Amino acid sequence: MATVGRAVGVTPRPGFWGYLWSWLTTVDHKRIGIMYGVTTLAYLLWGGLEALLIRLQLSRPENTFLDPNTYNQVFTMHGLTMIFLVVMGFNSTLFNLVVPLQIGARDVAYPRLNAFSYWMFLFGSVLLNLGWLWGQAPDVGWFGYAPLTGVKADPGLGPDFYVMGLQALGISSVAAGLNFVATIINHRAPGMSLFKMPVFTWMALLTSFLMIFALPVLAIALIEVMFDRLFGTNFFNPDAGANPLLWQHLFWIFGHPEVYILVLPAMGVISEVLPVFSRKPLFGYSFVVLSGVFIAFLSYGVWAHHMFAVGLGPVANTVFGITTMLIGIPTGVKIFNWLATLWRGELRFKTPMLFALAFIAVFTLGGISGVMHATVPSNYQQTDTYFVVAHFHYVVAGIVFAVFAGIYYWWPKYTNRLLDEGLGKLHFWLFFLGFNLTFGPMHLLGLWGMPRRQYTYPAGLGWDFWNAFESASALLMALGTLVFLVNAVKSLRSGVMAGADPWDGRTLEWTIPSPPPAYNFAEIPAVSHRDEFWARKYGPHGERAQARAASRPLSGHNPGDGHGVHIHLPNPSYYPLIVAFGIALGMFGAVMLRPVEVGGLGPLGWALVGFGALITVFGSYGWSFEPAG
Amino acid sequence: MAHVHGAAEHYTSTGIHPSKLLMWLFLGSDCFFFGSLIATYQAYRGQSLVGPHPHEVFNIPYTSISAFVLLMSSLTMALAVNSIRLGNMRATRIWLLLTAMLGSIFVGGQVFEFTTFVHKGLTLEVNLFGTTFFVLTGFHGTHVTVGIIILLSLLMASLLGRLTPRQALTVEVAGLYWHFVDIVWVVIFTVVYLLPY
Amino acid sequence: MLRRSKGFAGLGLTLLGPSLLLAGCVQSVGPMDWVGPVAGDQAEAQRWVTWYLIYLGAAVFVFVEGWLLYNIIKFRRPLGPGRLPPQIHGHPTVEVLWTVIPTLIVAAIAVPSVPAIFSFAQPPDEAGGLRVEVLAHQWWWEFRYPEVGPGKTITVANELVIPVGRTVIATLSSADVIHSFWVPKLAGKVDVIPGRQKNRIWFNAREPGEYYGWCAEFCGTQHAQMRFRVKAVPAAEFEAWVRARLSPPPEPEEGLARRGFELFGARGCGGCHTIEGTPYQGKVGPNLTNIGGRSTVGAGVLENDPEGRGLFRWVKNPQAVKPGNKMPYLGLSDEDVLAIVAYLKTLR
Repeated sequence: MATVGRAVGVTPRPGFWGYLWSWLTTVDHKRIGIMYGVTTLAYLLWGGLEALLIRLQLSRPENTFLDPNTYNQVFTMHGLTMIFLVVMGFNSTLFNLVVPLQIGARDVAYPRLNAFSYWMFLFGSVLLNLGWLWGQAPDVGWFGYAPLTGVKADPGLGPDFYVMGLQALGISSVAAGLNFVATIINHRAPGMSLFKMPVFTWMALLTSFLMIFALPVLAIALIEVMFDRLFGTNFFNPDAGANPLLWQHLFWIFGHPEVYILVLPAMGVISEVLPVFSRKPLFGYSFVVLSGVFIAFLSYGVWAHHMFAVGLGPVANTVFGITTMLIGIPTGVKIFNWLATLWRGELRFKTPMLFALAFIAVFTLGGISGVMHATVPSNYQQTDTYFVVAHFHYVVAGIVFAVFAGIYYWWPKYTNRLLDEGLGKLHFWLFFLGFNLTFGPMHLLGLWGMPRRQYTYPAGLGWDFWNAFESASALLMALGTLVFLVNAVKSLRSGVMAGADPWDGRTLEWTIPSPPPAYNFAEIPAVSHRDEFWARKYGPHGERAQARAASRPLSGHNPGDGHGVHIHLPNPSYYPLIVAFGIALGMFGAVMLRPVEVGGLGPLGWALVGFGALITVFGSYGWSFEPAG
Repeated sequence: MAHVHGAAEHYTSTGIHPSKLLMWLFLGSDCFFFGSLIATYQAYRGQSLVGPHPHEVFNIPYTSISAFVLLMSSLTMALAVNSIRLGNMRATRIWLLLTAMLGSIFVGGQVFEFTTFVHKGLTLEVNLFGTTFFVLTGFHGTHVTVGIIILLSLLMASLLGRLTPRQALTVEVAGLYWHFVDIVWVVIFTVVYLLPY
Repeated sequence: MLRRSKGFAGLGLTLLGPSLLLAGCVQSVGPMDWVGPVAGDQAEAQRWVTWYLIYLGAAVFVFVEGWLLYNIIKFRRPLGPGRLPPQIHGHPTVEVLWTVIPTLIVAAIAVPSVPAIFSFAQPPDEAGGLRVEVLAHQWWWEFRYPEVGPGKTITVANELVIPVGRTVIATLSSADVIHSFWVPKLAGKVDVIPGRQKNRIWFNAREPGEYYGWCAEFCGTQHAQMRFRVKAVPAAEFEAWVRARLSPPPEPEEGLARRGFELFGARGCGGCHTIEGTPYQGKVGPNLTNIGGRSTVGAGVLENDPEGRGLFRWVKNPQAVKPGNKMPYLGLSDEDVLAIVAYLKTLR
């Protein structure tokens, strides 16, 4: 791992500050991926804490643990944290750690843009959470329906932090999306046609397209809210004749592709893990890839299924009901393809596999409740109850199973250590049990009429027992997560060495040493098959069922490759950090434009905005004119 | 704007240069940005409870001229790209400067136009038309301004000897951005100004 | 090996458990339960669709999870060194089949649901329906009957009285943010949008009863306690109720209630609340003309018990009951509160 050394006194070893500097200026996708990963894990704990606070408040009817204002902030931030910081953060982690390795590249197409994406993500996450310091975290629900986000209904700073935090995160995502599309389209190893790419990389490609084309719609919606709050515009002002539903349309045109942004990478992880731990290829690669493509396109045509109860009329409701049903079909196809992958395989129940199998189980139930939701007459009763809370936790929190599958699977590649299997299994069972016991009964509560987003509920309506049960069960998930943390620390300190290919993998990342050298591949591999590594080990149809010991890392040992070939790596740069900081500072300044009475700085905020803009411009010029190195 | 290659290889799987691909993708993204703003405008078209209304403030001949100016700037931009490909740096600088000037005339014309609207009572806050109109055209104008800054930066780089025919692709990519901004204006001009109220 | 089988049996049970619980719930679990017995035609149609889906969903669940479990159990044995399982890449026919069959299943769900979508939008008895206006506020409900009196509009709050069996057609509007009108036992929910879009909902009650209503779109601090009741009464009783509403309640002449009547003005209550036939015509808060006869206080939050304890708690400190709501803490002494409560109890 390359570090920047600075002479301190007489000793030439790099000191702490040199080491820190190397991380602040890194443009290496592997380090960026690790930073994403650490940040994401921290927010997993933070969002989990918010969840436990919710469950504690709801463990008893008419509980007074959290007052309504605090509760409304906690549930809003729980949703925002889990969706934007944890799941999207984890997707970025994996894209960075895995995609370049899977396509045989040395780095992404735009390494500095990549670093910029991370710093925007970090600063955006801070901006989103900064409201806590004022006691005014966003409290409008994660999808902040206008005019609740208007200045009249919510004069405090909460909605401003909401707008700016999400805006910053959106910039991070668009930059990342652009980068990864460019990388996957243009930087594949020779011979790796699109249909020879690993499925995870395919899903990363589709997700990146969705990010590029969905986030701008959110950006506009957020701009409109911000302008209403700061400049008195009328986008969502009913007194001027505006229709607040405009927010909902714009938000969900973003929001539905967003949930596929959340889930497609997870499906990619499953599509990697299942074949490896069944020792069989993914069943129906083409169908799995094409169903992903179909889902991506169709995701723009279903948004109003979040709005069945707003009064769009029976024709619109029918149309969107049908398109929503349609999008369920390619999802079902994937599940069947996964099951057929397992069929007649040789299943090895290591921890990644357990989580992958659980994902299938859990996502299936989420899909079924989703189809119930897509059925409009049922939706009229179900929407805004705990039934939909159950549905989206089964699908979105279900993604966490894929997250852990990915962590356990790729952990050895980056740490050269295995995570302990015993602790892994304990983690799994605690989490799986806790998950089902927490979210399963929510289906019942929804059918029995408990609405969502309630800071408290009266006793005697038939909801008391299951709420208490769910709150207790949530602790199991917390416990499982703690077990994972213990496992992680233990593995880093004294875990079993993994080597390059601990799982008998199929794809190119397992051909290089663990952890990967700075340049990834000594020589860019030539690819002629899907699952290229497996084909090299066992033949394209598994003819050579030889012992694994015969396979060894291929990179760096190819004949005909002269030693001393100079591999050029991109230089580190501090401009991504500077530009990201400038933008974030400017956005913080925009929040501070709000009046002093609510905690802002009033017109003084313009100074911060201006300062941030200056830093951004200076940084952009520096970035543009920085020598190629 | 100098560009840095991420990896030593210049090989790309598709043969498209990375920066061109990036710009096309970014422009695709920007389509959704402007699309949402235009959709907002259309959603509120004719819904303002009070005036001023479009037909009370628009001066179509005036705006047509400024649209023409912007269109001509796309021509000069194309000529700039052509010049640098042919290696004629002096011509490149002239065309870049002309493009920036025409763009500035467009933006200046918009500032003047909006000032007259404000004097007629059309502000951001007065009604739905003011809100949607100014935000849409304002963001477009911002895009044009950023484009002008980029062009002037290229011009400056050329004067400093840092823009050579080897960086022809940079000018071409800047050209893509400029043409996009122009096309967006064609759409806005048609939808907002020309389509009958 | 055996431990693993037990583990998977546990997995299976955890998955099947929820689905067993769902099937066969035929008793009402509570007043908000909409899959048990319901009282409105809308709710009935929606409930049937839901049960159809529950059974269908359970079948799909059993099939898919069953196949998953089967694979886990059947293919868990290692094959031994040097052997690979069959490297099957796919089977187009099978894949087409499992694309087409779900499409057919989905069609079997969507098509029968369409009539219920359209029937929800169109009241069956447009001409003969009882028209009601719903105006949602943060965090209480205003109900108006525009046509029942001769040129008079009856305004009440938080409790909607309707005649049994008759179609009620409600026009929904909001004074502030988006709310949602939901009475699960009678019909699905419809959002209440501020501004020009005035949604309509129709519903009916087939039997007399008191049905719980709830705001079902997050609307700020006290969204959780923005509730209401729909009281369905026989037609004659409804007529009597209308007549009672059309004549203002008598002003109390003596005793605690008289003192309460005077305090109501002296303490400023009349600035926010309207009581018909009195000088108190405030339009900020709920109309209190029939508060004494309502089932709840504070928009479905406290029971309006005959002893007046609910009213006492509310008037004494509304912020303690519903923190953040728009009625401030007034700092009234207990005696004053008792007097006011005594007066309010006379308003029927």
